[in-house]
Amino acid sequence: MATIFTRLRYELRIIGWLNLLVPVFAVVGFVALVVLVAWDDLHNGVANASVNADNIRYLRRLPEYMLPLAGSIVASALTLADPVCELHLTLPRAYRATAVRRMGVLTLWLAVLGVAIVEVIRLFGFWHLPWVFPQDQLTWAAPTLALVALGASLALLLRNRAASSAILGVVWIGEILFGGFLQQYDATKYTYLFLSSEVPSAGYWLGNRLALMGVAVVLLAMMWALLGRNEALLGNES
Amino acid sequence: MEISIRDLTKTYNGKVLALRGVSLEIGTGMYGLLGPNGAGKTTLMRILAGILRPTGGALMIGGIDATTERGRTAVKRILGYLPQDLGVYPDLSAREFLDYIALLKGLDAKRERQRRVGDLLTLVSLSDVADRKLRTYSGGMKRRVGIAQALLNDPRLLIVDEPTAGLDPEERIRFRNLLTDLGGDRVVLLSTHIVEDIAQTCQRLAVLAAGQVIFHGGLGELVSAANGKVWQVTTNGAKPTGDYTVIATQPLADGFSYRVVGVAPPAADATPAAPNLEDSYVWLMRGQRVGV
Amino acid sequence: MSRQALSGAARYEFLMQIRRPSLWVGTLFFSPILFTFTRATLDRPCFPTIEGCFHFAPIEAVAYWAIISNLIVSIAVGLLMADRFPRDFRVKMDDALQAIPGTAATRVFAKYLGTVGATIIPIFILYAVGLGVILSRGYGPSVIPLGVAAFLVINVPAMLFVGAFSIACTGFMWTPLFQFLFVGYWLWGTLNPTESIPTLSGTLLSSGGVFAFTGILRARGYHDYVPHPSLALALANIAVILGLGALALVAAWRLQLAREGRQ
Repeated sequence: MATIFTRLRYELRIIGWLNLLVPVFAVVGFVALVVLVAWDDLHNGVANASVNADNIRYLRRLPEYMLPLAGSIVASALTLADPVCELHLTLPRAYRATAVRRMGVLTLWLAVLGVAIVEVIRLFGFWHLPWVFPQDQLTWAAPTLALVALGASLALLLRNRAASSAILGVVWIGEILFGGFLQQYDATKYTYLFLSSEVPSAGYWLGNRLALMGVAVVLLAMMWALLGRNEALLGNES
Repeated sequence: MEISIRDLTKTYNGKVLALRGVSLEIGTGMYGLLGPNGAGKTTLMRILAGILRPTGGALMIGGIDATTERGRTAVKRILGYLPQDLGVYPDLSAREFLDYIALLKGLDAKRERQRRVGDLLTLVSLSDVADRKLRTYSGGMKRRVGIAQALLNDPRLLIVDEPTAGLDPEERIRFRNLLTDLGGDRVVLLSTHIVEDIAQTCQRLAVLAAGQVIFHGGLGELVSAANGKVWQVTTNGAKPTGDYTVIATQPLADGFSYRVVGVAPPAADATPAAPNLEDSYVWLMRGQRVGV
Repeated sequence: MSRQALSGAARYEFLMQIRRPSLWVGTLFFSPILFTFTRATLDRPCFPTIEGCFHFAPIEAVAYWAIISNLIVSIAVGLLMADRFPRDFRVKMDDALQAIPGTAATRVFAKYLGTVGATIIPIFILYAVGLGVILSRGYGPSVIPLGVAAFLVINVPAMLFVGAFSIACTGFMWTPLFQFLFVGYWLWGTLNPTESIPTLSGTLLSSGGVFAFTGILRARGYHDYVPHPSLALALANIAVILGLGALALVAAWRLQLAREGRQ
């Protein structure tokens, strides 16, 4: 048990505070923007029930919108940037297990942030979903897991951080831009990332969350397979 | 321990033939693997280390069939490996880095692990700076951390790939001495294109070129291969022309002294010279190029 | 900075970028996403930010395709160009390049010109495929020149703008952080409709292309972004974003100079 904790501690150190701070920046930046807007509304005398509701609606988007994006970009960078990869491939403990464990530590950190965000918003009385812990944590957990797994898999598949980030960016922006369209078709509504923020009362909400988790599992399996391609792992970033 | 390599081949992407039927027998002690860049040394090292799968051939390491998945895992337990480009985690100290690698090598008992890490830090003379972050280490210090990590599990097979590249002369000598000490009771496979490193440490070696073994045997055998092919000639400046490879040029007060390798003397007044390993290596490579 | 050195270095950067498999593979990966979204919204022309439903005139069909591809593709362009300076460092070219005196300006501007020039090519091919789809839907051949014009006034300025910031910022900023901030900026400063959060959308600082869409191409829609579109405003918007891009590059050049001075 002590060994597991020691290894997790090392994985945390290897991920590095810069990587861990990216989602924190996301959270702080988003909150700062919403607070600024609310403050501006107040000082311009336009703050009313409707305007305040708008701001609260923005705040609620924080965990579902920002954690998946920040997490996936970090996952993509981490997967490709292991300077000890070649050495690790010669060690008795499998490299793919370490890589997945590292993703697990990153996800754990995102989970800490996700739970904290939801609970703080709830504490202020702004949280909108009727469900209780842990079901309502699926708001951020499902899209975050799906995009983190996508980021890591794309990085391994394309061997390039810029290209994998570009695809992640397109997926994220596309999901926002075409959210309405995605919700109209059975084929896409179950993988719409931002359902909790946009249509929290949708009847297929739980199905959507489970489907996203399923996507994450499939992508993790793909990541596992890609981590077994030693020749590709040793190749330079394209 | 014995390593037996039979007709080993490796093809990348079905196109690039990196190893073409390599066969070698390697016993306990230091064994050198010499060859130009792109000869296939690193590929062979990576196959021996269990990183890459051979496309064909047989590989037995200490009685273990290293071409199977189970065999590769078993070999990893008795292996120490120092890659050519050893990356480190810059935010860990040397002590933490070694501790982490020790965990990945399966040294789970904390006290035993810490003792081993401490001993190896002493061995590579890094105890005083062991708690400094690796980002502050020089290239030579990182290579020493590299050799320390390779020894964590007291390996029976130690593979070091270009270990002295980029080291200053003092560091290089220290490193060579350390490797020689380690070669007493285990197989130490030293891959390099620096002839001097082999000359100073190995009694037996193989030379690889274009994925094939073009020589294997004792150091003396390789050196004697160039007997009668090395010449010393002094001229007033003009470099010897013809079918020769100039090994060294030394300026003199009234001209230049050239050391050349070739079949016939480059000039009437050329004197034969006793070959060294570098001459013999050049002679061997020359033969590869011109098909002598 | 000699012209010869600049063109030589830009050519090198162009070849480096155009030969990267990830540029082409990346474009291939996100193009189905783009086409799926666009085709669906073209079939049901009720895209939420376009006023009402209407049948597209040829200019509107190409303007719509140009703006949708710009809103989605520019983000990929910015991210695809975000590793040029970090790459120099990764392949250990950074020190060698910095050791050559007087190369800071050449490095920055050549990297920009070469990389943007190369990145535009697969994007234009992707865009041209979209024009082909429009052509196949019964529109006349006029969509080709109109499409090229739309690409020039909507997509090219945006790519020059995001490319400048990608090249400039990643010379000094940790790449994943830049990537995250860039995506966040694009959402906030380009896509965010002007509801309650203050945004660059609809201002002359926006690179989304809505000014050119309405002011130059005279297409309908996006009037909530640009209430009074005009040609002058559209041209001013293009000038402003190109100017901002140039400023970013100049800043990167000065910072490179300062970095060389410290060494």
